[in-house]
Amino acid sequence: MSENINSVKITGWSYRGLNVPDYDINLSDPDSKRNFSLILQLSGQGKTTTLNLLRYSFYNFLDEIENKQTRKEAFDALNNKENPNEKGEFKLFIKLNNEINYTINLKFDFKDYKIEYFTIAGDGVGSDPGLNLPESLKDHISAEFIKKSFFNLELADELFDEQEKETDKTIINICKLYFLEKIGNAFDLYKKDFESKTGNLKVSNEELISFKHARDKIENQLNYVTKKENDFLEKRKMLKNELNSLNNEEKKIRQANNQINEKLTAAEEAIRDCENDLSDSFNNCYNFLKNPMKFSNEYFSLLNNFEKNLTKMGIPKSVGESFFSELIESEECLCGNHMNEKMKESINQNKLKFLTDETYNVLNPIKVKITQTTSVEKSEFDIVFKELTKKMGDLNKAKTKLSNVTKSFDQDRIVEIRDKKSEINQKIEPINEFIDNIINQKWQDTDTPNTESKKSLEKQLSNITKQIEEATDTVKLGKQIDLIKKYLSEIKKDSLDEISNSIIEKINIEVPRVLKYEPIFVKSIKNKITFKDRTGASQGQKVRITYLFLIALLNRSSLKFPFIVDSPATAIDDLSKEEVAKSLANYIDSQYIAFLLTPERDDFADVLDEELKKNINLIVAFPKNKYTENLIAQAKEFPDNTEIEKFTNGIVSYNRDFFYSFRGRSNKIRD
Amino acid sequence: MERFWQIKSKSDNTEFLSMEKFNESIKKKKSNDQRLFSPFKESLDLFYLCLLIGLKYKVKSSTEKYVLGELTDEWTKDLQENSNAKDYIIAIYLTEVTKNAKGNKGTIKEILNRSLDSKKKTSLSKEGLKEIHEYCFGGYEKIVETFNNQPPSSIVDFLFKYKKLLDKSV
Repeated sequence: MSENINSVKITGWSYRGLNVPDYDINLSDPDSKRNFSLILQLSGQGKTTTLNLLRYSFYNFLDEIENKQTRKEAFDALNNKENPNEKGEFKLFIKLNNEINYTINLKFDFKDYKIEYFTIAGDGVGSDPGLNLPESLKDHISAEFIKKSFFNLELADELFDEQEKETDKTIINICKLYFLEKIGNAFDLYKKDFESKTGNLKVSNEELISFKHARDKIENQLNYVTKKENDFLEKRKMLKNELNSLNNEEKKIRQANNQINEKLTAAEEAIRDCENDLSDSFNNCYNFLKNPMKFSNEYFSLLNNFEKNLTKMGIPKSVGESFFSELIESEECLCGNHMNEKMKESINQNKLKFLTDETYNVLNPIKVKITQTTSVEKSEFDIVFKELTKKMGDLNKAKTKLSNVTKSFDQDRIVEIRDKKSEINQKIEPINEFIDNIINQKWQDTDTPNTESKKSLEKQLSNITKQIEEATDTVKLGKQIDLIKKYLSEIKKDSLDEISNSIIEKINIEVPRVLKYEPIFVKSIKNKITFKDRTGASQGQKVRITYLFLIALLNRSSLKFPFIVDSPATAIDDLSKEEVAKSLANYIDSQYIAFLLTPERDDFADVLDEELKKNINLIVAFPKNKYTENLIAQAKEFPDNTEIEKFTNGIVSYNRDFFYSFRGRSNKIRD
Repeated sequence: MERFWQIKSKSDNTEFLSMEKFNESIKKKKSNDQRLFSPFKESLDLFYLCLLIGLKYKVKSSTEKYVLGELTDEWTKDLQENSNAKDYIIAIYLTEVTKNAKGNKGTIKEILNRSLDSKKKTSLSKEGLKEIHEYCFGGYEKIVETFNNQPPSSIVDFLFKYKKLLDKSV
């Protein structure tokens, strides 16, 4: 199918033998004009599994997991926990350009940890093995594109984090700017092909083969390091999100208990003070070490004597190198005699006995520094180092105090949170080391292709590429391709700037409405979102700005792809929920599917419903078992459009009233 | 040798602790340990500290014995303008290399001309810079010996052992 695909809509999905009840979800779309669906679920009842299954339906992320244990864990996470199955199946139903039906069928083998794809194109019954989406759609669907189309509000932290550079990455992926790099790479492939065909070899075949082997080795290592970098970036992002959520949880516990908060704050401040003292103490020690005349009387006398002796000898008094050079060049000596070769040689030998300008210029300031330095008692040096022991002891005591304070609260969760935070920080450290230092190490001519420095590998690759170009007489072609790649890179940069400016403009138009009580305007989205006239924002403000950013960005894309959100209104206040819902209802062009928990419903679902004039799917889905008897009873009170008996182990309801009255705790509903 | 270098490995000893590795344990970095507060912000700081020990113990080690990795091509701002450490250390080096001249003005001038060069970012001539490296590497060998070829366990551990080395009378 060569038709250009400009919209993808999910019309439903079904689960069989997975970690979610065996039910079907239908997203009805009357007149192809319904874009919004909200699915209300209980916490821990398959929300994450569903999001992963939807992701896997468009891109086989599972096949990219090389580590056996990680792969096993990813498959196990999809399998039924209580009664594990050997096989499982997920079907996704989509509609392209609002007219062509497609079914993507995922068959899981939980024994061998394998996944098989089948695709049914159109309304036909035959299914083709593989994930066979139309070519023009495949162009869009990269791993990164899919990752960015499935949001949770952790992105609200990432978009404000300088280290993650998430804004640029998101724009590049959604607006497909990475295609420009792909074009550049295609030229490289063309050149490689051309090199092997050219008859103008400047070296022997053996030499050329050895060059090409060297290039392959560097390219393989560069791919390996890039993959490792990406894996680490993902892992760091995940760890940071975990850290943020632990911080938020701790904040909540502390806000709820003033006494705990006060004691912890005092203990933490004490640690910070001790750390600052220790830092000062380190600097004091090193400052001494940087001045040998202060830490050692021996050096003080030695250098002063050196300076005095030089002065006594009239050093420095310089004669410039140019004086001797001019003298040697001249016809006559200063004494008036003709300058012969012997005299020239003698001047050359003896000029070393005069201080040159180059020596004078270094020596004179040194002498000045020596004379300006006053001595201090050696004991001061010892005191500074003794202080170090004390400061270290103070810090250890402060840390022990914090640990004791934490344990004294009878709040096991606080202890758990803090232990977990420290564990996460330990995990982040080597990742930071790799990303901030190792891959950025400068190239050195002693480097081998085994290095993990990307900078070095890129330089090595550039060197060997030049050698191959010379050997195959393709220097001119190489230069032309470099020029094209330079232009492509400039286009990418200019496009990114232009898109960013347009997004900022669109966000700022919406700000007075969405943040009406405290409007904060976006200044830049280069690498991260920053504000005009202020440095930070509350979580609720960040979430609202994140939504504005996403709406502006997604509306730019030539492909209208479903925007799937996990917990769309968590951690934001009622007002923020309301304004976010209004923005979504009025400005998003793509299909919007959100998985929400009951606390997120009020002031969000109702506002969306009202703004969309009820043109929205409101769905409740939960498992049918002995633990959910109260919920089943609730469902029975709303029998219209509620599938109570249709599935053996789950209930799905499309009843609007049930959606609004559904409560996790059944008794509460009727209070 | 137009810049500063550090030891990446030792030709006859594959187990030898590199200056890069040593630096990792003391250089300032975002970490959960004392390195977060380290006063050693640049790799050249370790170079300076080794040079100080090399000159104190008057030990030189030939640069030929090592595989070297690049450092900066000039003194850091901290060692230069902020502290004048560069001037003091060059002065100590000059006292060492001129000590045998026994007050002979001509010889001293000759040595100074041979060692210094204001046109170079390091303020040292090619010959002077090479000799400085020999002292630095000699000093590093001494430090590594003190730490049993293991990186220091903390900044405090490093500073204490380093001070002991400095305090020792030679």
